[in-house]
Amino acid sequence: MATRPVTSSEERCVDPARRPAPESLLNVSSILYDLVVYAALGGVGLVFFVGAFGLSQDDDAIDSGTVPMIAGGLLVLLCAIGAVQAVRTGGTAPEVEVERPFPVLIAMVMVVLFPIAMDALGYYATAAIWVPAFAWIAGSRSWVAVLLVPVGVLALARFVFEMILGTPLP
Amino acid sequence: MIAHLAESLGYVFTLNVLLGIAAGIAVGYVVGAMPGLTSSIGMALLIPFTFSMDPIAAIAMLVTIYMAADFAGAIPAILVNAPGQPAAAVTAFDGFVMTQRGEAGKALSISLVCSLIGAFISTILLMVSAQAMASAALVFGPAEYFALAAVGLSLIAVLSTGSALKSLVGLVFGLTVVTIGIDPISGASRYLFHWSLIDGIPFLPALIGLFAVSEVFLMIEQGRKAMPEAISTRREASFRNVWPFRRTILRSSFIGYAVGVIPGAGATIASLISYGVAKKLSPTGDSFGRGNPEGIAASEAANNAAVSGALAPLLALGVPGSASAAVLIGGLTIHGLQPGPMLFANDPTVPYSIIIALMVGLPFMVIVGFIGIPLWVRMIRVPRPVVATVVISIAMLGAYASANSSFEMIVTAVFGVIGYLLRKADIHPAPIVLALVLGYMLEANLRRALIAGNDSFFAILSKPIAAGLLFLTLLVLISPLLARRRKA
Repeated sequence: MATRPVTSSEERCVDPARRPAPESLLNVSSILYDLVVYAALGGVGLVFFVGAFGLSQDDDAIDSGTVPMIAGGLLVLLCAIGAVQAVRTGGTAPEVEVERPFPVLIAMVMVVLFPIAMDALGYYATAAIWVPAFAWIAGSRSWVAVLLVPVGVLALARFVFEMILGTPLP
Repeated sequence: MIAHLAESLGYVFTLNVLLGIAAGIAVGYVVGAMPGLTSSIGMALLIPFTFSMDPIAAIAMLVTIYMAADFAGAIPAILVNAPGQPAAAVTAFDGFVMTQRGEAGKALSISLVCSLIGAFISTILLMVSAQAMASAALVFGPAEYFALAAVGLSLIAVLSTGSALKSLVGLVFGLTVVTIGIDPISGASRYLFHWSLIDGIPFLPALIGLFAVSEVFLMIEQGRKAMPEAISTRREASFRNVWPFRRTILRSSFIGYAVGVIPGAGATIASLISYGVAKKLSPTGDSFGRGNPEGIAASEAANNAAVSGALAPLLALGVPGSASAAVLIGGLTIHGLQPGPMLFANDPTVPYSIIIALMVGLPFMVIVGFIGIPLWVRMIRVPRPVVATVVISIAMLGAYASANSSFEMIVTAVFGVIGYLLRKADIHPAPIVLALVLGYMLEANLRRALIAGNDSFFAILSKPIAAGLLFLTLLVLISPLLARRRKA
């Protein structure tokens, strides 16, 4: 894995006066990335395949465990084939590129944490903090946008979801 | 029939009914364009408001919500890869690529015109064949449903755009996780990591995650880089632009109507099958999934045609063809109307008024769409970080609204992360969605068919429709091999 700055040509669409500071680019060998993905999916397949043995067995031709066993086993097999193919052919592309890897990672964590925070604090309190923070992480550096987007989202939640569509928010 | 149609025309062209249709279109556009809110949710939420309304106006409003939601589902699918309705996921395959190329206006226009044609043709078909089609659909038993699901899954052979192995991995991953929940036959619990999974992976939140949330992460990667400038004018919304796809649109409309008639099949399966068939038959099939407008035409004509199709068994037999049609049954019974064969005998103006309301609603919907295209395309000019924040906020709200539970949001978040990581490995969400749609249908009906046939697979093959569909599955699966051989 290596990081390099984004080239200026990649930012050509941005007004030079407001051009963001050079941000990083994560390059991962596609063989390595494919192997990690196949290992993860193969692991899921293995869990379902092994778990299927513990499911109720009956006299039917296809019982509770048959389909998960077939699907899980097939997933393991396909991932194994994919892994071998990736090693032999060197992956489908030279490298997997992830631009702005840290903001993407933080955004992922934020998205996963949102429902948990919402259960604890309620929708409006969570969204009032979470939405501007997400806008900032997404790359918005305009204070107007960072402040107006949450107002719009909260208004949408209140008037469309709660008042018109009758969806009670916690 | 003509006399009843004429009488129904008089009922529909009253101020109350026309206002109901207009309200239905407005609500339909809102719920259709919001990922997570389906037409059935919109209809269910508005049923209490219909208590005091005239029955025809109430039913016309509910029916137009159903139709308008399908119309509008394509808008966010094309603009931000976040399907407003599950069926619009197929539209996103090519529509979003066109947006990335700066052709958002063209994609929206094609979607609008093809939706109109699909809905128009299927409404005509509903008028002339509702009773006959619905009776034919009743022949479908577990064996036929299993075979239909097999046809749908075999479409992976034509739907995949990149590596066939990776598409297959995505499909089997979907088939694996769809077994989570209560066993459809024995009731045993399978892989219940959390009690909320008792009904399996919730489809809608998973779909929102795989498409919308994963796209948000890709937008964050792009940061403040400008989106491609969209070249769009209303002039693109013309029949001339879709004329080259006339055969595809016609075929997709018939497929959409026929699949819509089959209870439980629905618009998503209709658009998947139609897209797969179009890709197979089109001379430019290789570019499907890479921004081919014909892909949008196939998907939109079919999923809008499926709306009228789903109404056929409802009106003729009292059997809902989709979740939205089931909600409509609720709306009809609240007003003392019992859908089914007796509806045509006792209250013939009701089914014909529904059909006329669909027809009357069409031009209204096109006008809203026509006026809206330049406005929606302007969304492209909004800075990407703002779009990403709005999309994720609406996606999370929509996921919550789909079941009023934060668990749905967690599913959306998890599938969003999975979708993003898999997309980085060139594993597209489409095969996973295909498996999530059809996996349960495949297993449940295979097992039911085997139980009915004393565990003999030949019992399935002995049914002509099931055998025909399985033969079609085989043909679809081997067709890429045959094509390769022919080229060699």
